[in-house]
Amino acid sequence: MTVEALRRRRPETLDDLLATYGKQIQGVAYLILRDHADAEDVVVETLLTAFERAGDLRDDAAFRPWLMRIATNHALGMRRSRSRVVRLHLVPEAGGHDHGAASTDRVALLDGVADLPIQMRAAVVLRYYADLSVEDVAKALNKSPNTIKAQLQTALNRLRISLADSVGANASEANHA
Amino acid sequence: MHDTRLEDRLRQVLRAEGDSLPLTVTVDRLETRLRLRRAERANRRLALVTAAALVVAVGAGGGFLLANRGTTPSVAASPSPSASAAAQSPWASPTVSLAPVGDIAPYLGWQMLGRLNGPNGNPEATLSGELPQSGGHLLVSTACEGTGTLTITATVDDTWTVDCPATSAAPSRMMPYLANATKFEVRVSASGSVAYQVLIEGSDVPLHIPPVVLRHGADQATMGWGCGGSISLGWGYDAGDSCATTLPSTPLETLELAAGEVATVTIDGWTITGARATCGRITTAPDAPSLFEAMTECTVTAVLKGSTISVSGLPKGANAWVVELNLTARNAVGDGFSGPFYAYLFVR
Repeated sequence: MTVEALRRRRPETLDDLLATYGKQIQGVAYLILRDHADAEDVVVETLLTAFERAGDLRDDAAFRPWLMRIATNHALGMRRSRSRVVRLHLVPEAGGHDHGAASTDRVALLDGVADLPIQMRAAVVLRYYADLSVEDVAKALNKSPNTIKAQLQTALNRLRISLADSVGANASEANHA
Repeated sequence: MHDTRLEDRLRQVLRAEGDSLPLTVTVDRLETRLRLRRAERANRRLALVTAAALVVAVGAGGGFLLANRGTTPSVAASPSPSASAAAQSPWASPTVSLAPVGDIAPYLGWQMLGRLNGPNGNPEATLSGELPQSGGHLLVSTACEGTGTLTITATVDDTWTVDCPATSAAPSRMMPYLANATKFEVRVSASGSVAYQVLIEGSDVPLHIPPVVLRHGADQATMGWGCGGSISLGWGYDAGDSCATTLPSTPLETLELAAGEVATVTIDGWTITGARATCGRITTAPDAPSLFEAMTECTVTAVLKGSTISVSGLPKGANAWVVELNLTARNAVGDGFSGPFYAYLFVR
Protein backbone atom coordinates (compact mmCIF):
# COMPACT_ATOMS: atom_id res chain seq x y z
CA MET A 1 0.00 0.00 0.00
CA THR A 2 1.38 3.44 -0.84
CA VAL A 3 0.69 6.65 1.01
CA GLU A 4 -0.19 8.18 -2.35
CA ALA A 5 -2.99 5.65 -2.84
CA LEU A 6 -4.22 6.50 0.64
CA ARG A 7 -4.19 10.20 -0.16
CA ARG A 8 -6.35 9.50 -3.18
CA ARG A 9 -8.71 7.59 -0.91
CA ARG A 10 -8.83 4.57 -3.13
CA PRO A 11 -11.34 2.11 -1.64
CA GLU A 12 -8.91 -0.78 -1.55
CA THR A 13 -6.56 1.14 0.74
CA LEU A 14 -8.77 0.50 3.76
CA ASP A 15 -8.32 -3.20 3.20
CA ASP A 16 -4.56 -2.77 2.80
CA LEU A 17 -4.30 -0.55 5.86
CA LEU A 18 -6.14 -3.10 7.96
CA ALA A 19 -4.03 -5.99 6.71
CA THR A 20 -0.73 -4.16 7.11
CA TYR A 21 -1.19 -2.20 10.31
CA GLY A 22 -4.35 -3.45 12.02
CA LYS A 23 -2.66 -6.00 14.23
CA GLN A 24 0.04 -3.64 15.41
CA ILE A 25 -2.39 -0.81 16.14
CA GLN A 26 -4.49 -3.26 18.11
CA GLY A 27 -1.40 -4.34 20.04
CA VAL A 28 -0.49 -0.75 20.93
CA ALA A 29 -4.05 0.04 21.98
CA TYR A 30 -4.46 -3.18 23.95
CA LEU A 31 -1.22 -2.70 25.87
CA ILE A 32 -2.28 0.83 26.79
CA LEU A 33 -5.94 0.08 27.55
CA ARG A 34 -5.88 -3.61 28.57
CA ASP A 35 -9.24 -4.13 26.93
CA HIS A 36 -9.73 -6.04 23.70
CA ALA A 37 -13.02 -4.39 22.70
CA ASP A 38 -11.63 -0.89 23.29
CA ALA A 39 -8.49 -1.83 21.37
CA GLU A 40 -10.61 -2.88 18.39
CA ASP A 41 -12.45 0.45 18.52
CA VAL A 42 -9.07 2.20 18.45
CA VAL A 43 -8.11 0.18 15.36
CA VAL A 44 -11.27 1.30 13.57
CA GLU A 45 -10.97 4.98 14.55
CA THR A 46 -7.24 5.08 13.79
CA LEU A 47 -7.55 3.58 10.32
CA LEU A 48 -10.46 5.86 9.43
CA THR A 49 -8.62 8.92 10.71
CA ALA A 50 -5.62 7.92 8.62
CA PHE A 51 -7.85 7.31 5.61
CA GLU A 52 -9.43 10.74 5.92
CA ARG A 53 -6.34 12.65 6.99
CA ALA A 54 -3.54 11.21 4.84
CA GLY A 55 -3.40 14.53 3.02
CA ASP A 56 -1.89 16.08 6.17
CA LEU A 57 1.10 13.77 6.09
CA ARG A 58 4.05 15.59 4.60
CA ASP A 59 6.75 12.95 4.92
CA ASP A 60 5.77 9.56 3.51
CA ALA A 61 8.59 7.90 5.44
CA ALA A 62 6.95 9.01 8.67
CA PHE A 63 3.72 7.16 7.90
CA ARG A 64 4.06 4.43 10.52
CA PRO A 65 5.02 6.78 13.41
CA TRP A 66 2.16 9.05 12.29
CA LEU A 67 -0.24 6.12 12.41
CA MET A 68 1.02 5.10 15.85
CA ARG A 69 0.57 8.68 17.02
CA ILE A 70 -3.06 8.65 15.89
CA ALA A 71 -3.61 5.28 17.56
CA THR A 72 -2.05 6.49 20.80
CA ASN A 73 -4.15 9.66 20.81
CA HIS A 74 -7.31 7.61 20.30
CA ALA A 75 -6.28 5.17 23.04
CA LEU A 76 -5.44 7.95 25.50
CA GLY A 77 -8.68 9.72 24.67
CA MET A 78 -10.60 6.52 25.24
CA ARG A 79 -8.75 5.96 28.52
CA ARG A 80 -9.79 9.41 29.71
CA SER A 81 -13.41 8.72 28.88
CA ARG A 82 -13.27 5.33 30.64
CA SER A 83 -11.79 6.57 33.89
CA ARG A 84 -14.25 4.62 35.99
CA VAL A 85 -13.21 1.29 34.56
CA VAL A 86 -11.33 -0.86 37.04
CA ARG A 87 -8.36 -2.71 35.63
CA LEU A 88 -7.82 -6.29 36.62
CA HIS A 89 -4.36 -7.63 37.23
CA LEU A 90 -3.14 -10.52 35.16
CA VAL A 91 -2.99 -13.91 36.76
CA PRO A 92 -0.62 -16.53 35.38
CA GLU A 93 -2.52 -19.18 33.49
CA ALA A 94 -2.22 -22.64 34.93
CA GLY A 95 -0.86 -24.99 32.30
CA GLY A 96 -0.09 -22.14 29.92
CA HIS A 97 2.69 -22.24 27.41
CA ASP A 98 5.03 -20.12 29.49
CA HIS A 99 6.07 -21.87 32.69
CA GLY A 100 7.97 -21.17 35.87
CA ALA A 101 10.30 -18.19 36.21
CA ALA A 102 9.64 -17.02 32.67
CA SER A 103 5.92 -16.91 33.39
CA THR A 104 6.48 -15.07 36.66
CA ASP A 105 8.63 -12.43 35.09
CA ARG A 106 6.20 -12.08 32.17
CA VAL A 107 3.33 -11.43 34.55
CA ALA A 108 5.46 -9.13 36.69
CA LEU A 109 6.49 -7.12 33.63
CA LEU A 110 2.96 -6.89 32.24
CA ASP A 111 1.56 -5.90 35.63
CA GLY A 112 4.41 -3.46 36.05
CA VAL A 113 3.64 -1.87 32.66
CA ALA A 114 -0.07 -1.74 33.49
CA ASP A 115 0.73 0.04 36.78
CA LEU A 116 2.70 2.82 35.08
CA PRO A 117 1.03 6.22 34.70
CA ILE A 118 -0.81 6.29 31.41
CA GLN A 119 1.56 8.61 29.51
CA MET A 120 4.59 6.65 30.70
CA ARG A 121 2.87 3.41 29.73
CA ALA A 122 2.18 4.78 26.26
CA ALA A 123 5.85 5.75 25.92
CA VAL A 124 6.93 2.23 26.93
CA VAL A 125 4.50 0.59 24.51
CA LEU A 126 5.53 2.80 21.58
CA ARG A 127 9.23 2.31 22.31
CA TYR A 128 9.35 -1.38 23.15
CA TYR A 129 6.32 -2.81 21.36
CA ALA A 130 5.96 -0.59 18.30
CA ASP A 131 9.74 -0.09 18.14
CA LEU A 132 9.56 3.63 17.49
CA SER A 133 12.68 5.70 18.07
CA VAL A 134 12.77 7.98 21.11
CA GLU A 135 12.29 10.94 18.75
CA ASP A 136 9.20 9.37 17.16
CA VAL A 137 7.77 8.49 20.58
CA ALA A 138 8.34 12.10 21.60
CA LYS A 139 6.48 13.34 18.51
CA ALA A 140 3.66 10.86 19.07
CA LEU A 141 3.16 12.00 22.65
CA ASN A 142 3.94 15.67 22.08
CA LYS A 143 6.81 15.66 24.51
CA SER A 144 10.48 16.47 24.18
CA PRO A 145 12.91 13.57 23.60
CA ASN A 146 14.45 14.34 27.01
CA THR A 147 11.07 13.92 28.67
CA ILE A 148 10.59 10.59 26.95
CA LYS A 149 14.09 9.45 27.92
CA ALA A 150 13.34 10.36 31.52
CA GLN A 151 9.99 8.58 31.42
CA LEU A 152 11.51 5.44 29.91
CA GLN A 153 14.31 5.43 32.49
CA THR A 154 11.78 5.80 35.29
CA ALA A 155 9.65 3.05 33.80
CA LEU A 156 12.61 0.68 33.54
CA ASN A 157 13.55 1.43 37.16
CA ARG A 158 10.04 0.58 38.25
CA LEU A 159 9.86 -2.55 36.15
CA ARG A 160 13.18 -3.72 37.55
CA ILE A 161 11.73 -3.34 41.03
CA SER A 162 8.54 -5.20 40.04
CA LEU A 163 10.67 -8.02 38.71
CA ALA A 164 12.82 -8.14 41.83
CA ASP A 165 9.69 -8.21 44.01
CA SER A 166 8.16 -11.05 42.04
CA VAL A 167 11.39 -13.06 42.09
CA GLY A 168 11.61 -12.49 45.85
CA ALA A 169 8.01 -13.60 46.38
CA ASN A 170 8.62 -16.68 44.24
CA ALA A 171 11.73 -17.63 46.14
CA SER A 172 9.86 -17.23 49.41
CA GLU A 173 7.04 -19.48 48.19
CA ALA A 174 9.56 -22.06 46.98
CA ASN A 175 11.25 -22.06 50.41
CA HIS A 176 7.90 -22.63 52.11
CA ALA A 177 7.17 -25.52 49.77
CA MET B 1 19.15 -7.42 35.45
CA HIS B 2 21.15 -5.16 33.16
CA ASP B 3 19.15 -2.54 31.31
CA THR B 4 19.71 -4.13 27.89
CA ARG B 5 18.51 -7.49 29.14
CA LEU B 6 15.52 -5.89 30.78
CA GLU B 7 14.72 -3.98 27.59
CA ASP B 8 15.05 -7.14 25.48
CA ARG B 9 12.80 -9.11 27.82
CA LEU B 10 10.31 -6.25 27.88
CA ARG B 11 10.19 -6.20 24.07
CA GLN B 12 9.68 -9.96 24.00
CA VAL B 13 6.90 -9.90 26.60
CA LEU B 14 5.07 -6.94 25.07
CA ARG B 15 5.19 -8.43 21.59
CA ALA B 16 3.91 -11.78 22.80
CA GLU B 17 1.09 -10.07 24.68
CA GLY B 18 0.22 -7.45 22.06
CA ASP B 19 0.25 -9.93 19.20
CA SER B 20 -1.64 -12.64 21.05
CA LEU B 21 -5.08 -11.22 20.32
CA PRO B 22 -6.90 -12.16 17.14
CA LEU B 23 -7.75 -9.19 14.93
CA THR B 24 -11.46 -9.48 14.30
CA VAL B 25 -12.00 -6.05 12.77
CA THR B 26 -13.22 -6.41 9.19
CA VAL B 27 -13.24 -4.07 6.22
CA ASP B 28 -17.05 -4.15 6.40
CA ARG B 29 -16.90 -2.76 9.91
CA LEU B 30 -14.52 -0.03 8.75
CA GLU B 31 -16.75 0.92 5.85
CA THR B 32 -19.86 0.95 8.04
CA ARG B 33 -18.15 3.17 10.60
CA LEU B 34 -16.88 5.42 7.82
CA ARG B 35 -20.43 5.92 6.56
CA LEU B 36 -21.60 6.64 10.12
CA ARG B 37 -18.84 9.18 10.69
CA ARG B 38 -19.79 10.99 7.51
CA ALA B 39 -23.45 10.97 8.47
CA GLU B 40 -22.63 12.23 12.00
CA ARG B 41 -20.59 15.04 10.50
CA ALA B 42 -23.34 16.04 8.15
CA ASN B 43 -25.87 15.98 11.02
CA ARG B 44 -23.55 18.03 13.20
CA ARG B 45 -23.16 20.67 10.53
CA LEU B 46 -26.92 20.84 10.24
CA ALA B 47 -27.26 21.13 14.03
CA LEU B 48 -24.62 23.84 14.14
CA VAL B 49 -26.40 25.88 11.54
CA THR B 50 -29.56 25.55 13.62
CA ALA B 51 -27.68 26.42 16.82
CA ALA B 52 -26.08 29.45 15.18
CA ALA B 53 -29.50 30.66 14.19
CA LEU B 54 -30.69 30.19 17.77
CA VAL B 55 -27.71 32.07 19.20
CA VAL B 56 -28.36 34.94 16.84
CA ALA B 57 -32.01 34.96 17.93
CA VAL B 58 -31.17 34.81 21.66
CA GLY B 59 -28.30 37.26 21.23
CA ALA B 60 -30.69 39.77 19.76
CA GLY B 61 -32.60 39.60 23.06
CA GLY B 62 -29.48 40.31 25.07
CA GLY B 63 -28.65 36.72 26.14
CA PHE B 64 -25.59 34.60 25.45
CA LEU B 65 -26.76 31.05 25.51
CA LEU B 66 -23.48 29.21 25.32
CA ALA B 67 -21.58 31.11 27.98
CA ASN B 68 -24.04 30.39 30.76
CA ARG B 69 -25.50 27.03 29.91
CA GLY B 70 -25.34 24.71 32.89
CA THR B 71 -22.44 26.34 34.71
CA THR B 72 -22.29 26.30 38.46
CA PRO B 73 -22.26 29.68 40.18
CA SER B 74 -18.85 30.95 41.11
CA VAL B 75 -17.70 30.02 44.57
CA ALA B 76 -14.26 31.57 44.50
CA ALA B 77 -12.72 34.88 43.59
CA SER B 78 -14.20 36.05 40.33
CA PRO B 79 -11.87 35.26 37.51
CA SER B 80 -11.06 38.02 35.11
CA PRO B 81 -9.86 36.39 31.94
CA SER B 82 -8.18 38.58 29.42
CA ALA B 83 -7.96 37.46 25.85
CA SER B 84 -5.29 38.57 23.44
CA ALA B 85 -6.32 40.98 20.73
CA ALA B 86 -6.47 38.12 18.29
CA ALA B 87 -8.81 36.16 20.53
CA GLN B 88 -11.20 39.09 20.99
CA SER B 89 -11.52 39.99 17.39
CA PRO B 90 -14.63 39.47 15.48
CA TRP B 91 -15.26 35.76 15.69
CA ALA B 92 -18.21 35.90 18.04
CA SER B 93 -20.09 33.28 16.03
CA PRO B 94 -18.20 30.01 16.36
CA THR B 95 -19.04 27.33 13.88
CA VAL B 96 -18.46 24.69 16.52
CA SER B 97 -19.65 24.84 20.09
CA LEU B 98 -19.36 22.98 23.36
CA ALA B 99 -21.44 22.60 26.46
CA PRO B 100 -19.42 23.06 29.65
CA VAL B 101 -18.02 19.68 30.59
CA GLY B 102 -17.59 20.69 34.23
CA ASP B 103 -21.27 19.84 34.60
CA ILE B 104 -20.25 16.25 35.16
CA ALA B 105 -19.07 17.10 38.65
CA PRO B 106 -20.85 20.26 39.72
CA TYR B 107 -19.95 19.72 43.37
CA LEU B 108 -16.36 20.50 42.49
CA GLY B 109 -17.44 24.11 42.09
CA TRP B 110 -16.76 24.55 38.39
CA GLN B 111 -16.82 27.98 36.93
CA MET B 112 -16.33 29.16 33.39
CA LEU B 113 -12.99 30.93 33.01
CA GLY B 114 -13.18 31.69 29.31
CA ARG B 115 -13.44 30.41 25.79
CA LEU B 116 -11.48 30.68 22.59
CA ASN B 117 -13.15 30.46 19.21
CA GLY B 118 -11.28 30.25 15.97
CA PRO B 119 -12.64 30.62 12.46
CA ASN B 120 -10.97 29.18 9.40
CA GLY B 121 -7.52 30.55 8.89
CA ASN B 122 -7.01 31.89 12.40
CA PRO B 123 -3.65 30.50 13.45
CA GLU B 124 -3.16 31.64 17.04
CA ALA B 125 -5.22 32.63 20.06
CA THR B 126 -4.33 33.08 23.71
CA LEU B 127 -6.47 33.47 26.79
CA SER B 128 -5.15 34.22 30.25
CA GLY B 129 -6.71 35.05 33.57
CA GLU B 130 -6.85 34.29 37.25
CA LEU B 131 -7.32 30.81 38.59
CA PRO B 132 -9.80 30.06 41.32
CA GLN B 133 -8.08 30.32 44.66
CA SER B 134 -6.35 27.71 46.80
CA GLY B 135 -5.40 25.18 44.19
CA GLY B 136 -7.80 23.14 42.15
CA HIS B 137 -8.23 21.99 38.60
CA LEU B 138 -8.27 23.51 35.18
CA LEU B 139 -10.44 21.79 32.61
CA VAL B 140 -9.87 22.46 28.92
CA SER B 141 -12.39 21.10 26.41
CA THR B 142 -12.06 21.27 22.66
CA ALA B 143 -14.26 20.89 19.62
CA CYS B 144 -13.20 21.51 16.09
CA GLU B 145 -14.06 20.82 12.51
CA GLY B 146 -12.28 21.15 9.20
CA THR B 147 -8.97 19.62 8.27
CA GLY B 148 -5.95 20.35 10.40
CA THR B 149 -4.51 20.15 13.86
CA LEU B 150 -4.84 22.23 16.99
CA THR B 151 -1.88 22.47 19.32
CA ILE B 152 -2.96 23.57 22.76
CA THR B 153 -0.62 24.69 25.50
CA ALA B 154 -2.16 25.35 28.86
CA THR B 155 -0.83 26.43 32.19
CA VAL B 156 1.54 23.99 33.92
CA ASP B 157 3.15 23.65 30.48
CA ASP B 158 0.90 20.88 29.32
CA THR B 159 0.81 20.61 25.54
CA TRP B 160 -1.34 18.36 23.42
CA THR B 161 -2.76 18.21 19.95
CA VAL B 162 -6.24 17.59 18.64
CA ASP B 163 -6.66 16.23 15.15
CA CYS B 164 -9.56 17.85 13.31
CA PRO B 165 -12.13 16.89 12.44
CA ALA B 166 -12.70 15.13 15.71
CA THR B 167 -15.46 12.55 15.49
CA SER B 168 -17.05 14.41 18.37
CA ALA B 169 -15.80 16.92 20.88
CA ALA B 170 -12.29 15.87 21.86
CA PRO B 171 -11.83 14.49 25.36
CA SER B 172 -11.41 17.21 27.94
CA ARG B 173 -8.04 17.74 29.50
CA MET B 174 -8.07 18.34 33.21
CA MET B 175 -5.04 19.60 35.05
CA PRO B 176 -4.54 19.92 38.76
CA TYR B 177 -2.71 23.00 39.95
CA LEU B 178 -1.24 23.83 43.28
CA ALA B 179 -2.23 26.47 45.75
CA ASN B 180 0.55 28.84 44.74
CA ALA B 181 -0.62 29.01 41.11
CA THR B 182 -2.65 32.14 40.45
CA LYS B 183 -2.82 32.57 36.68
CA PHE B 184 -3.82 30.42 33.80
CA GLU B 185 -2.90 30.80 30.17
CA VAL B 186 -4.20 28.71 27.30
CA ARG B 187 -2.67 29.08 23.85
CA VAL B 188 -4.21 27.52 20.80
CA SER B 189 -2.32 27.21 17.56
CA ALA B 190 -4.15 25.90 14.51
CA SER B 191 -2.65 24.40 11.39
CA GLY B 192 -4.63 23.58 8.31
CA SER B 193 -8.09 24.97 7.92
CA VAL B 194 -10.11 24.45 11.06
CA ALA B 195 -12.78 26.10 13.13
CA TYR B 196 -12.64 25.40 16.82
CA GLN B 197 -13.93 26.25 20.23
CA VAL B 198 -11.93 25.72 23.40
CA LEU B 199 -13.66 26.08 26.77
CA ILE B 200 -11.64 26.74 29.89
CA GLU B 201 -13.30 25.88 33.16
CA GLY B 202 -11.90 25.89 36.65
CA SER B 203 -12.67 24.24 39.93
CA ASP B 204 -11.49 25.67 43.22
CA VAL B 205 -11.73 22.34 44.98
CA PRO B 206 -8.17 21.09 45.00
CA LEU B 207 -6.72 17.68 45.32
CA HIS B 208 -4.43 18.39 48.20
CA ILE B 209 -1.12 16.60 47.89
CA PRO B 210 0.00 16.69 51.50
CA PRO B 211 3.60 17.07 52.53
CA VAL B 212 5.30 13.74 52.99
CA VAL B 213 7.80 14.06 55.82
CA LEU B 214 10.49 11.58 56.75
CA ARG B 215 11.09 11.75 60.51
CA HIS B 216 13.57 10.48 63.05
CA GLY B 217 13.05 11.84 66.54
CA ALA B 218 12.97 15.62 66.27
CA ASP B 219 14.74 15.62 62.91
CA GLN B 220 12.77 15.61 59.68
CA ALA B 221 13.08 16.02 55.91
CA THR B 222 10.18 16.91 53.66
CA MET B 223 10.25 14.62 50.64
CA GLY B 224 9.87 16.14 47.19
CA TRP B 225 7.22 14.81 44.76
CA GLY B 226 8.86 13.50 41.60
CA CYS B 227 7.81 12.68 38.08
CA GLY B 228 5.29 10.05 37.13
CA GLY B 229 2.80 10.62 39.92
CA SER B 230 -0.90 10.35 39.41
CA ILE B 231 -4.00 11.62 41.10
CA SER B 232 -7.50 10.26 41.19
CA LEU B 233 -10.58 12.11 42.26
CA GLY B 234 -13.42 10.49 44.12
CA TRP B 235 -15.88 11.04 41.28
CA GLY B 236 -13.85 9.00 38.84
CA TYR B 237 -11.37 11.29 37.15
CA ASP B 238 -7.74 10.34 37.16
CA ALA B 239 -4.68 11.93 35.66
CA GLY B 240 -0.97 11.28 35.54
CA ASP B 241 1.67 13.94 35.33
CA SER B 242 4.55 14.04 32.95
CA CYS B 243 7.65 16.09 33.39
CA ALA B 244 11.12 16.41 32.01
CA THR B 245 12.93 14.94 34.98
CA THR B 246 12.30 12.17 37.43
CA LEU B 247 13.31 14.37 40.34
CA PRO B 248 11.51 17.22 42.09
CA SER B 249 12.38 20.68 40.85
CA THR B 250 13.40 21.82 44.32
CA PRO B 251 16.58 20.57 46.05
CA LEU B 252 16.14 17.40 48.07
CA GLU B 253 16.20 17.63 51.87
CA THR B 254 18.44 15.39 53.97
CA LEU B 255 17.74 13.30 57.05
CA GLU B 256 20.63 11.90 59.04
CA LEU B 257 20.49 8.54 60.80
CA ALA B 258 22.86 6.21 62.62
CA ALA B 259 23.21 2.74 61.13
CA GLY B 260 20.30 0.55 62.22
CA GLU B 261 18.00 3.43 63.07
CA VAL B 262 14.53 3.65 61.56
CA ALA B 263 12.89 6.69 59.95
CA THR B 264 9.11 6.94 59.78
CA VAL B 265 6.50 8.56 57.52
CA THR B 266 2.91 9.35 58.43
CA ILE B 267 0.49 11.60 56.53
CA ASP B 268 -2.16 13.26 58.66
CA GLY B 269 -5.68 12.83 57.32
CA TRP B 270 -4.66 10.28 54.69
CA THR B 271 -4.63 6.52 54.66
CA ILE B 272 -1.47 5.15 53.12
CA THR B 273 -2.35 2.04 51.14
CA GLY B 274 0.98 1.23 49.55
CA ALA B 275 4.64 2.02 50.08
CA ARG B 276 7.79 0.83 48.43
CA ALA B 277 11.28 2.22 48.92
CA THR B 278 14.28 2.12 46.63
CA CYS B 279 17.68 3.61 47.20
CA GLY B 280 20.07 4.92 44.63
CA ARG B 281 21.76 8.02 43.40
CA ILE B 282 21.22 10.97 41.12
CA THR B 283 22.83 10.74 37.72
CA THR B 284 23.47 13.73 35.54
CA ALA B 285 24.59 14.09 31.94
CA PRO B 286 25.17 17.12 29.74
CA ASP B 287 21.96 18.44 28.14
CA ALA B 288 19.87 15.80 29.89
CA PRO B 289 17.67 15.92 32.94
CA SER B 290 18.92 14.60 36.26
CA LEU B 291 17.65 11.11 36.90
CA PHE B 292 17.20 8.86 39.87
CA GLU B 293 19.02 5.59 39.32
CA ALA B 294 18.37 2.58 41.55
CA MET B 295 21.57 0.93 42.79
CA THR B 296 22.31 -2.63 43.80
CA GLU B 297 24.95 -1.44 46.29
CA CYS B 298 22.27 -0.44 48.74
CA THR B 299 18.98 -1.80 49.96
CA VAL B 300 16.24 -0.08 51.86
CA THR B 301 13.01 -1.44 53.23
CA ALA B 302 9.68 0.30 53.70
CA VAL B 303 7.23 -1.50 55.96
CA LEU B 304 3.68 -0.20 56.18
CA LYS B 305 2.04 -0.97 59.51
CA GLY B 306 -1.23 0.77 60.29
CA SER B 307 -0.75 4.21 58.86
CA THR B 308 2.98 4.48 59.52
CA ILE B 309 5.76 3.59 57.13
CA SER B 310 9.04 2.51 58.67
CA VAL B 311 12.07 3.05 56.47
CA SER B 312 15.18 1.11 57.43
CA GLY B 313 18.02 -1.07 56.27
CA LEU B 314 20.24 1.45 54.51
CA PRO B 315 23.95 0.75 54.83
CA LYS B 316 26.48 3.33 55.99
CA GLY B 317 27.83 5.43 53.19
CA ALA B 318 30.41 8.09 52.61
CA ASN B 319 27.68 10.14 50.94
CA ALA B 320 23.95 10.40 51.46
CA TRP B 321 21.77 7.90 49.61
CA VAL B 322 18.80 9.09 47.62
CA VAL B 323 15.66 7.31 48.77
CA GLU B 324 12.70 7.01 46.45
CA LEU B 325 9.48 6.25 48.33
CA ASN B 326 6.60 5.24 46.07
CA LEU B 327 3.42 5.97 47.95
CA THR B 328 -0.24 5.43 47.36
CA ALA B 329 -2.68 7.20 49.66
CA ARG B 330 -6.37 8.03 49.83
CA ASN B 331 -8.39 10.49 51.88
CA ALA B 332 -11.84 10.32 53.38
CA VAL B 333 -13.64 11.72 50.31
CA GLY B 334 -12.06 9.19 47.99
CA ASP B 335 -9.40 11.38 46.40
CA GLY B 336 -6.06 9.74 46.05
CA PHE B 337 -2.54 10.16 44.86
CA SER B 338 0.23 7.84 43.92
CA GLY B 339 3.77 8.71 43.07
CA PRO B 340 7.41 8.82 44.00
CA PHE B 341 8.79 11.06 46.73
CA TYR B 342 12.48 11.70 47.23
CA ALA B 343 14.88 12.70 50.01
CA TYR B 344 18.52 12.16 50.93
CA LEU B 345 19.24 9.78 53.79
CA PHE B 346 22.71 10.01 55.26
CA VAL B 347 23.65 6.98 57.36
CA ARG B 348 26.61 7.63 59.61
